[in-house]
Order: sequence, then structure tokens, then C-alpha cells
Amino acid sequence: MAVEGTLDLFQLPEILQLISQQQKTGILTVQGQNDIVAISFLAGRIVAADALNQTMEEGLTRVLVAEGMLTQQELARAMAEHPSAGGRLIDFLVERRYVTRQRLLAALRLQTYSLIEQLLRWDQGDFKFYSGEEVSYEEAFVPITVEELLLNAGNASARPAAEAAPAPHPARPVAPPPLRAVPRPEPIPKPAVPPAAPRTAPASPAVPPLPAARVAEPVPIRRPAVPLSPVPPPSVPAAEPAAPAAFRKMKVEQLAVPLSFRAVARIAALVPAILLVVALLTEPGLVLFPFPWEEGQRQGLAQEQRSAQYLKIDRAAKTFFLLEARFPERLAQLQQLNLLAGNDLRDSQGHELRYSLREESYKVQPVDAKGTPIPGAETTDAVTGNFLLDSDFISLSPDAQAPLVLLD
Amino acid sequence: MCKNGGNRLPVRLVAAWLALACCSALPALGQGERPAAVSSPRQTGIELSTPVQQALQQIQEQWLQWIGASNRESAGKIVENLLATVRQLGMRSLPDLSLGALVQAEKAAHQRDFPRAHWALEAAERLDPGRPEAAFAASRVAGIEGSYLAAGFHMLAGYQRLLWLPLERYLWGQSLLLWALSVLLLTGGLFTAVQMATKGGALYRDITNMIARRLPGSAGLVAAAALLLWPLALVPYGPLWLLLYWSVLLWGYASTSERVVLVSLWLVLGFAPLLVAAQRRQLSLELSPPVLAMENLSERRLYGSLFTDLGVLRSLLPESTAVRQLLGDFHRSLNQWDLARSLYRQVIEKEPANTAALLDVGDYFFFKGDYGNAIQYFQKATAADPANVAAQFNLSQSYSESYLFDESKRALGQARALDASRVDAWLKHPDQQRVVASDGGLARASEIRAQLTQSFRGRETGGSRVEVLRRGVSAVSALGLVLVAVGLHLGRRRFGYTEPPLDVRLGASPFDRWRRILLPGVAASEAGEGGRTLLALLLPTGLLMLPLSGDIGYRIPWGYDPGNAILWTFAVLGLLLYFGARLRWELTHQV
Repeated sequence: MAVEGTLDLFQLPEILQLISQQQKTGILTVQGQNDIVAISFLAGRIVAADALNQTMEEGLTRVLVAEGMLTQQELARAMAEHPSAGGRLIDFLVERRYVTRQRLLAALRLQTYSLIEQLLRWDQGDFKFYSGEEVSYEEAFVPITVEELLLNAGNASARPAAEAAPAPHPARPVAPPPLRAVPRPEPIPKPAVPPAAPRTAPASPAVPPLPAARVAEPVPIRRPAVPLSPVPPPSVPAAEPAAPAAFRKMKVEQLAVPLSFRAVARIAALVPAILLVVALLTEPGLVLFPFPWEEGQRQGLAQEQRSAQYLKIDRAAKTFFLLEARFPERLAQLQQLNLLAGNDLRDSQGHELRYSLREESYKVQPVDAKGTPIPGAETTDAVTGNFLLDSDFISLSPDAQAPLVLLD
Repeated sequence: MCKNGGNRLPVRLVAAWLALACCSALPALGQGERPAAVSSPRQTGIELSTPVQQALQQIQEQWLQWIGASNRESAGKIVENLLATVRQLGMRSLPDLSLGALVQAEKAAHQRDFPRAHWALEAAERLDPGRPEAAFAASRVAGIEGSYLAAGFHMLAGYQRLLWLPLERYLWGQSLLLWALSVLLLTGGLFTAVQMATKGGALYRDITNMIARRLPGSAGLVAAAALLLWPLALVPYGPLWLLLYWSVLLWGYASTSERVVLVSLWLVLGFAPLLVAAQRRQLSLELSPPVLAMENLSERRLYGSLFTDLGVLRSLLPESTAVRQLLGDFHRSLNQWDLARSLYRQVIEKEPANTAALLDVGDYFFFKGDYGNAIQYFQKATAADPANVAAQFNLSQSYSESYLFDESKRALGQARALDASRVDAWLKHPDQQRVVASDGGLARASEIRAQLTQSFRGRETGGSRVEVLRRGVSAVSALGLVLVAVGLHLGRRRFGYTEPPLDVRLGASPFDRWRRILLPGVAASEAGEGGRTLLALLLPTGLLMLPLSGDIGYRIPWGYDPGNAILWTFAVLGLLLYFGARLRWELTHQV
């Protein structure tokens, strides 16, 4: 998928923030009137930046000299020796000990910083973000977070390196002439790869060509499990953050998935979702034991649930007996006395409980929708053995009664 | 007692147990002399002496008096009498009568006779203190009276009391576990459905492209659709298979966090049967009449079927020494000392160093005035457990009654040396019976539970192996899903994956905004945030399922039902808050 838009609709900082917030990996290209800048993101953090009109090596050597890491003479000597040695200039500088790798990386970071700070002044141009799984960047480069970049953007002029570094040619001056007067920039050519490009392929072929020296050293896929930069926490727990406002105005190009495909998938998703909810409401055991071979466990659980339910019904029925000297005629009577709840008149599988009364006992049996009893699920109970309800429980012999005492 | 026709063996065989109880009761008394004036155990399996039967009859009569009482004073007096009678039997509360009083209270409230309702509530609380049912009924009466604040207070108090009662707390905990598993699995299903909705289009397109090499045009589209939807034909489990099938197919499109969630859900699905099976075995035990009887006995609650349920316990474990000791304790608390001694002697025959049984037999002789025998048993008890304070104390008392004051002082000194505070408490207690009894049988409740578990397991051996294998199939299937998903991904990776769209996440129209609010998890799923998607679905699913917790889990067998209003209230308020928060978030971030 690619996302594109123009800088007159929204500003570059907002685009950078969105990419950072979503921890995207890919390349953002910004095309102005005279230049194209490509910024590489790894999990939402900037790891490289290049301009069409200035190679990375040109910019880097300028920074090295401006920062005093390399003298003009050393640079001239290195430039003279490099063609015969071959390879990348930056590798050559390190190998020949003109500069340490740490200092070189620091200079590269400064140059990247400077390039993007200059880019932030653009207010005209087109941008396009190519999402991918990997990007090329200098190994051990310390990524630049968007927050850091935007915070420091105001101080850019204070840094000598920023002044020394060549700025990309902005599409327009900082105070631009009227918009209509500017001819539209040339459109960026579409990526050469088909829309269904493999995710694992390097992102670089899908974007306008970068300077050769930068893409020469492919970097393995780095999609960290732990975000490299923290996403600002949403104010609502468990509610995913919405996209930044400006981004919603963008034209989102669905390069890959036509609407018909998405519609089929959504309908296919809706069917099991609805059936799951229905299953939960009608037979909750199905959610716990959904597989066909778990029928026995479903029944076992239902039986255990009925045991607890029958115990509750038994207590209620006997409380009724205690007050009325008989069992209730219907279970609903127990519900009216709040001895049972409404859902106690059905079992956990939704079967209605059929209640039948005998003289000093009752029977409860779940029945299915057709009124057929569920085999082996019934319960019968009686007052037998209950000292409060069973009139036969206490069998005192006449001798055991208290003796009659004649007072006179 | 409840006779359940299901596969709960102990309950189904109640009739058989009772028959067994009848047969085993007499031999259980052993060769010892059978006390006079003891009822046949025909009814319950537990022998009851005439005084005990008279006390029980007195309770019946006093209850009828309470029903007919017309004012608070007389009703209060009857309750006092009831409690005095029950104390004679070594018990503290009458739960059945308490429930009856609660029903009377509500009836009176409906008749606008609130004074009567209140003294009925008081009676219920006194007859069985600390029960949630009393608080629920008080809440109902307050509601009828129009005191809604008090009603709410009593309702919350009722739920708080629930946590202090072993059986109710246990059932509540087990129900919570089932509910949590159900919520998790349902959320898992919805999570997969959301994955299908957000990434399924890309999957469908990729499969169509793969098929298009051989079947161009609409035939390819149909074939791809058939390839994706065929599990629906597996009636009636089609939707489940569809979800599982797609969860595997979408593995390649999922981010790392989504894969972690998927694997976790598969494992929960696979291992839930093992967890629930273990829970069911334990629950079957906890709801069995013998365990209910033990629980009530330890709390000194005299419910109507207590004798019958203890009879079942004896018939289930006729050879258990622990059960005999427990029944000995029960008879002792009923003041049926002869029956108790007979059982304790059987215990001592099997376990000569059983200090509690030795103490209790010593007590028997002490109360009979046979101090010589009492001293003999207390000496055995002190020899078996020299650190037993009660044994030393009882020995001291027995010596004292035998005019052996030096020995008495020495034994008392030893008892004080072991635990002076307890000895002083025994000496000062107004109800001091001069010797201390020991509830050794009740202390062995866990041992009896273990024996019952063994007994139940022994009866279940028939189909259990097949059942265990079936449970294992689910766990193996879950692990298999992980392997298949990873294998399929590795095989398919070279063909590439289409990037799923960001429709809901980036849409700016009001329709898109409402979709973001009302379809939790979809926008997060589009961004590949697995944990956030799961959480966004989990909360509303849990809230929606809250009122169903009674159907998903086990019904708590309280005698007075509080209704489901509190759960509905929580669910509705929770959902309003949740979606309100989502709406607020969306509005604060709109253009």
C-alpha cells in the first residue's frame, strides 16, 4: 500500500508524526520543483535521507570538513586515492583511518538531520509513502526520532553543521509566490514492481532510485517486536488511537485490494462472528467446548451446572414446604417468592425445566423444544430424611413423652 | 436430599447409599454396647437418641409458634428459644428456618406490614448469621419500602458476605473461571473475525492471483472463494472451522503482536478442556451431600437433611477411620456420648496414637464419673502427644476429681508451660465443662475429601480413558495449528503478501468515524496492533457477557435469589462508559 498527497493540504511534520506514531517501515519521498528527497523509516524512526541533487557522499564529506573531522588536504588525498581502491568512499575513509567509524556515523547523522530540516521548510510538493518491511541504511546508524527532529528543528540554524551542509533545493522559497504561479511538479513515476510485491522484498526497488552507494549494502529485515520509539498513549484504555486529523484528509490509495475482495472477506467474517454470539446465547457450553469430539465434556459440564441448579431449586422448594407444608405446584411460584431467579426455570443449555409434583416429592426434568425429556438429566426429591419437613422423621415412643404429673 | 439422574454418581445412587447406610449403621457401632433409647437409623443412617429427637421436635414446634407470632417481642423470644434448643444439639444456626423467615419478611413487606417484615429479617439474621440471603432480602424489603439507598447498601453487603462463605465463594470462583474462559474464547473468535475483515481481502486477492495462473477470470475468483469458505460446509461446526482455518491462513498477514495473540488463543482453546475437566471433578465433590454435610457441620449449621447427608457419607466410606471419628464428633456434639464413644474406640483400634480420639474417650469416662479410666486415656493421649495442652489439662482435671492433687498440679503446670493463655481461658470460661473435647474428626475433613475423591474416581473408570484422550486431542490440535500456520507461511512467503488496507483507520467520513467507534478493534487490526485489538474487543465482550455469567457458570445455590439487576447495571454502565470514551476520543481527534 502507498499513501500519497500534496504538501499544500497538510504539512510535512504531520506526515512524519503519523509514520512515527504507527511505527511504519518504508520510504517517504517528497518531490519538489527541482529536487526529490527520500527519507527511510525503520519502525517509525528515521534511518537515512537522500536528495536527488546531492549524493550522500557529497553531503557527508562537506559535513566532515565543516566539523573539522577531516581537513581539505586529507579530503583531496582521499578523493585521489579512492578511485583506485574502489568501493564506497565512506568505507574507504574508515579503512584508511581518515576518520573513525563512530565519527563518520555522527557526521552522517548530522547530515541526515540537516537535510530533513531543510526539507521541513518546503510547503509545495508531492509526497508518497511506500510501506515495506525493510529499508537500507548505514549499519550502526543511530536512528533519529521524529519527536527529536521536530523539537530541534527550530534550533537548526544555530548548528554550524547545518549551515555547512548543503540544503536540498526547495521547491519554493520560504516565502513563496502565489500558488497558481508555480507549475505543478513532475509526477513521481509509479513503482516498477506490481502492487502485490512481496513484503519481504527490499523496499528500495519500489521507490525512485536512491544513490547507488546507499543501496549497495542491503540490511537484513529488522522489524522489531518491541517498538523502537514509544507511541504516545491514548487517553482511552483499550481504544486504539485514531489516525491524526490531517492524515484523514489524505488520498489513500488502495493499490492492492479491490473493494469486492474486501467485501467478500467482511461477509465471511460476519458469519462466524454472528454465529458465535448466537451460540453463546443459546448454548454457552459450545463456546468452551467447540470441537465435535468435545460433546462428552459439554454434556458433563451441563450436568454439573444442573447439579448446582438443582441444589438451588431443592433449597427453594423445601423453604416453600417449610412455610406451606407442601411443595409448590409450579416452579414459577418459587420465582415469585424470589427463591429462584427467572433463568433458574431453564437449564444452562436453555432447556425448559418440566416440574411435576407428587404428594411429598417433586421431579424436575429438562425438556427440549419439542417437549422430549433429556435422558439422564432429571432429578427427584422428597422430604424424606429432612427433620423439619418429614413427619415420619421423629419417631418418639409414647414412653419417651414427658410424664404426666398430677398436682393434686 | 437431592437425587440427580445425571452422571453425578454420588447423587444418583442416593437410594442405594441409604440402603447401604441402613445395613452398615449397626455394624459401624461395633461390638460396643448399643445405647438404649436410640432410634433406628432406617431414616437417615444416623442414630438419634430420644433427647435429640425431642429437641428436633421442639424446633419444629417452636418454628410453628414463630410463624404464628404476632409481635416483635414474642417472635424474638421464640427465636431465642430456638437458638437455645439448637445449642443443646451442639449447633449454632438453623439455615432452613432463616430462609423461611426471609420469605415471610418479603411477604409482610408486600402486605405493607413493614414492622413484621423487619422483625422477620432480624429473626433470619439471628437464626443464620452472616448469610448473603438475609442481606438480599433486606435489600428487597428496603426497595419495597422505597428506601433505595438502603436497598443498594444491603445488596452490596450481600455480595460482600458471599466472599466469606466457602461453598458460595467456591462456586462463584469457579463460575468466574468459566466466564473468563468463555469471554476469552469468544473474544478470540471475534479477534479472528476482525482479522478476516481487515486482512481477508488481501488474502482473497493473493489466492485469486495464485489460482489465476491456471483458472483465469471469474472461475479463479469462485475457486478462490470456495477455497476460503469450504469449512462452512462442515455443519454444524462450520463457523468454528472457518475461524480456525482463516486464523491459520492469515498468519502471514499478521504482525508479530497479532501472531502472539493468535498462538495464545489457540493454546487457550486447546487447553481449556483440561482445565474445565479438573474443575468439574472438584465441583462434583463439593456439591455432593457428604461434603455439604461436612461444611455445615464445621460451621455448626443444623439444616434439615444434615443427618441424611452424614448417613450418605458413612455409607460411601464405611471403612474410613476419619469418617468414624467425624461421626463420633457429631454424636458427641449431640450429647450422644455412648454412640460417640463406640465410634472413637473403633478409631483407637485402628490408630492407637490418635490423640483427639483418646481425649474424647477420656472425656466420656470423665463425664460418667469413671475418673480412673479417664486418667488412663488422658495419660495415653499425653504419651502420644506430649505437647498437647488439652491432654495435660484434662489429665489435671481428672487427677483433681480423683483427689490426686499433687499429680493434678503437676499436670496443670505442664499444661500451663505449654500454653498458659489457653489454660487460663479454659479455667475462666463460664461454660467450662471441666474437660476439653477435641474435634479430631472435623480436623480430618481434607482427608475425607481425598477419600471421597478416590471413591468417585474409582466409579468413573469406565469411559475416563477415552475422555482423557479426547481432552488431549484439543491440546494437540492447538499445537498442530501453530505448526501448520508457520509451515504454511514459510511455504507461501515466496509468493508474497498483499498489504492489507487501512479503510477504517484512515477514513474521514462520519460513517468511518462511527465505524471506528462502534467496531472496536478494527482500526487497531488494520494497523497490525494485536494486543490493542484483543483488548479493544475483550472489554465490551466481557461487559456484554456479564449478565450471562449465571448461565455460563454454575448457579449459586443460595436460598434467596438477588436477581441479575446488579450485573445488568454494571454491564450497561460499563458499555456506556466504554463507547462514550471511544466517542470522546474520536471527537477530540477529529479534523
